[in-house]
Parts: sequence; structure tokens; C-alpha cells
Amino acid sequence: MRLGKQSNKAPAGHHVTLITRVGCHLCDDAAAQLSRLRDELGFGYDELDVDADRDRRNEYSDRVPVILIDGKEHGYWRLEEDRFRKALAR
Amino acid sequence: MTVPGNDAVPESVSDLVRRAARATPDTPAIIDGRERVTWSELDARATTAALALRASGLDDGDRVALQLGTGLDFVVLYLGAGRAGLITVPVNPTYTVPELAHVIDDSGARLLVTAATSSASVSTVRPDALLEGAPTGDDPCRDRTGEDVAVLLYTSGTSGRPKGAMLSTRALLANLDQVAALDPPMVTADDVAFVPLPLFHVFGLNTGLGIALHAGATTVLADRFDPLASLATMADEHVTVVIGAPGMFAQWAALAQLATAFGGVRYALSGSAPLPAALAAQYASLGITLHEGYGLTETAPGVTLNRTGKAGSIGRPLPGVEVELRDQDGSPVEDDDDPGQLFVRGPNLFSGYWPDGADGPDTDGWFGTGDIAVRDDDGDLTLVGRASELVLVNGFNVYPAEVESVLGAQPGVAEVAVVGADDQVTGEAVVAYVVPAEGASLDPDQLVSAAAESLAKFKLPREVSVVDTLPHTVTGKVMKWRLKAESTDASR
Repeated sequence: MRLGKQSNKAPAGHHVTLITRVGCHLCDDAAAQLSRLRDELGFGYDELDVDADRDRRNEYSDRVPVILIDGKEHGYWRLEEDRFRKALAR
Repeated sequence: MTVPGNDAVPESVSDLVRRAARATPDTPAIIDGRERVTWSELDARATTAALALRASGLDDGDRVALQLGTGLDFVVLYLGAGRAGLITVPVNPTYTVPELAHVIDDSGARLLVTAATSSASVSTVRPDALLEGAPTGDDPCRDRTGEDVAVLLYTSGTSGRPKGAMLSTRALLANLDQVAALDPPMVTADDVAFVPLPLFHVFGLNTGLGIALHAGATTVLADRFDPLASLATMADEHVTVVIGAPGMFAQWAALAQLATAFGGVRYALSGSAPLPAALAAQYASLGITLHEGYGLTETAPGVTLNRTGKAGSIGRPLPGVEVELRDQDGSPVEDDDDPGQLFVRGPNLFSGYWPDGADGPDTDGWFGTGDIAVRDDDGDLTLVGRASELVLVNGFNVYPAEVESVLGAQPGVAEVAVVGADDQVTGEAVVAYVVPAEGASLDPDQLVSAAAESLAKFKLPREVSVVDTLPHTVTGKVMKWRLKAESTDASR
């Protein structure tokens, strides 16, 4: 368990969170895109259901999927690959 | 041509009505004043209009000009023209005789439908006369689909002579699909959408009406904008979505009835002209977020949308629309906050201008909007001006929008427009036109010295003219070319 978690960490230690909703097509698209980029860039990753937590819902409900890098909002709706790569390179 | 099955993917805008008529035949589709039309009635009326248009001798691919105000007649004839296999040419009812003549001649329209008396050199009919004379029959199902041009939309044009942007069915439906993909949806079948916009303009036509037709929502229309009456309509019809222009939101803001009318509104979209940050803030203080959308005729129209309410921003590209900022050499802007011309790519793009598709998207599918934007660290875009409005003072770039926001923030300034004027010494110079707020008097020298606190010297206006009003287009944009012509004349 601990080993698996450590191996998820990018060398620079970046962690990406995708905030999703069940049945949201744009969320599926973003998850697929991130899965591909993760193979290449090796960042930590988790997905959170926007409706599973009240604070999260209040913050993000009206614009899923939302992409967070190290807990800070990076963007929503669609992952812009160039911007994302630049942000992870920092 | 389309033969709709029960679960068929819509192949035309008119197909959206067939779909809603199957799903919810008895719910209201359009409310226009005292007239209420269900989806099955709208479906039948669209077919009637199609039969009437075919009976008047029009054939597949012919252009029909609709010079009509916002109302049921426009909707029915637009949908009917689609079913009849025709290309709709929406025309501004306030066009002068020469303006109308240009559109008719350029488009080669074979029929003009107008409620006004017309001297146009084309066969002309009133909408009521046309529809009353319709033969009975079945839906001709001659829908223009895919790459077929469905609408020829003459751009309102803040510069020069209107050109006909060719919008294919593919482009129109793509933009509706792009908006419909958002989660949560902007409009659903349970919504009542208020669209007090001109339908001869792309924002009213494909964002207002189109999105509602796509969602199967009820559309409440309003012609001639009356702030007080429209707020009463919103309350009476239990409106849940408002799609309007900044000028409308500004006029409503002054009225006490605003809070009641907006009580049931869960989504308010502002488009067709820049939304002043102060106006958005005023609504925010009432708990209402005005979402600014950005688009253009050539992109059918939606490009970006501000979903967070960040002040002054046009937000992010709609999913499915690609945006790139390019510098003057055409290479992508590297750094955040550096301005670049906004280029757009996506299936919602037009097919060039009538008739030969000139000046459309390039071979890679990109189209330059002529708008200058910056992208911030969050990935949100903000417009800073028009490429064509860029003023070069001693070779330094001045974006009029920056000067406008500084002057506009001074007390007593209601509206401001900044243009470039020829200057013998500096090449070009900044010239400002300011409209005083009611009861205020403005001193040009004082405005310039106040602006000097936040603007570099080369950005300061050479002249500030205090004027009663600025010339506006129908959707509220300042016609800067008129101001520019004026400042050029004055300097001679």
C-alpha cells in the first residue's frame, strides 16, 4: 500500500486531483487524457466525486471536471496539455 | 435530407424541433407575448412554413431573406426554411434601404419576408400572407445537413461593409453540442429561457434560440426591449435562464423589480458585447452571477465562457473549441499575461464568406478573431482589444481597452471609447470620447491628469472629447470606425 503510493509520486512531487461527477462525459475525457499523461510524466493522481462532500460540491459543482495541481486549481472542463505540462515542469 | 427515427441524432436545427415534439408534444416551446405554442404546434407550423416557401417557387439551396423582429414568425420561418432546403439570410429590420439592398444583392436572395413595406428589388411577402397561403401537406424533409450552408449571416460589422458568413448545419449543431456537453447543463428541458435578443444576430439565433431548441426548453421571446415589461414577463413566466446583452442587464439593474424577476433565475448569460466589470459586480452583490460568453458570428458563435464569475474575464474555451494566442509574427504567446491575437479552431467554425468561402479558417482549421487577449495563471482569458484597433504611438502598442478602463473608472464618466488618430509626430495618437454620467460635467484636462496616475505617457489621450452619446451597433458595440473617421476628418 505504502509502496504503491510512493511509486505514484512524480520526481518533482506533483500531485494531480481530478474532481469528477458520475455520468459526466467531459470528466471521462479528462480522466483518459490524464491517465495517458501520467504514464509519461509520472505524477501522483486521485479522483474525487464532487457530490460526495458538501464543501467540495459548494466549491466546484458548477464546472466539472476541475483539475487541481498540488491542491491548487489549474483549470476546468478540458485539460489544456501545453499549460498542464508547463505547470508540472515548475 | 433527413428521415428522423425515434432516437436519431439531430441532423439539422429543425430536427431539434421534431425530436422535442416526439418527446414532449404538449409542453410549451415558444412564448411570444400572449401567444403560447407547444412543441407539436411548433413542429406543425414549421412544416406549414416549409410548404409555403416551397409553394412560392423556392428550391433547394435558394436563399430566403427574413427581415423580421424577434417573434414567433421568425422562429417558424427559420425552421420552415430549413425543412424546405433553403438557406436563411436573417436581416436586421432597422437596416436602411441601401443596407438591405446590399444584403439582397450579395446573397442573391430570391424572396424577402418582411413586415415592412419594402422597395427592395426582389420578390417580397409579408409573413402572415405567406403562411396563410400555405398548401397542406407533409413535412418536405429537405433539411440541409452536415456541410450544407444553412444560414448566411451578415456580420453586424464594426468596420466596413457587411459580409455573409456561411454557417453550415455542422457548425450550428457543433456549437449547440459543445454547450450541451457542459456539466451541469446551461439549459435543460425543465428550463424556461428568456431570450430578449434580436434573432437576426448570431447570439440570439444560435445561442439563445438554438440552445433552448437543443435542450427542449421553453423559450420566452421579446421584441423591442422594454426593461420594466421584460422584468414583469420574467416573473410571470417563472423564467429560470436569461440570455441577454450587457445593455439589457444594465437597464434592468436600475429597477427595483430586478430582485423579484431574477428570483427564480439559476443561470444568466451575457454576450454579444463586453460585460462591464462594475455591472457584473452590481449583480454579484444581489447574489446573481452574470456569466460572460465570448463568441463571434464566424464561430456560430460560442468560443469561451466564464463559469466562475471572475471579474472582467471571458473565461475558458468551451470544450471542443481550441484557442491559441499568437503574437504579431504568428507564433504562440509563451508567457502568461502577454497579449496575443485569439485564434480559434473547432467544428463550430464557419465555412468562409459568401459566396466563394473566402477568408475562412486556414488549411489547419484556425481562424483569427482579430481580438487581442491575455491568458492568466488560472488559464482564464481576458480581452484587451481588437487587433485592428491597436494604436501605434511612436511604435509602442496601446490597447484602447486599457485606456478605456482607466478613463471609465473616473467619477462622472458613463461611457468611453478610445481610438487611434493620425499624428504627424508620433505616427498615431490616442483619442478618447467620453460620455458624462447624468448631471456630471467633465473636464478633459482633469481626466488626462487623472489617467496619468495609472498610464504611461504614450498611452495618454492627445485629445479627450466630451460627447452626449457614442454611436452603437444593434448589440451595443461602439462603432469605432465612425469615431475614427470623425477624428481623421477633424485633424485635417
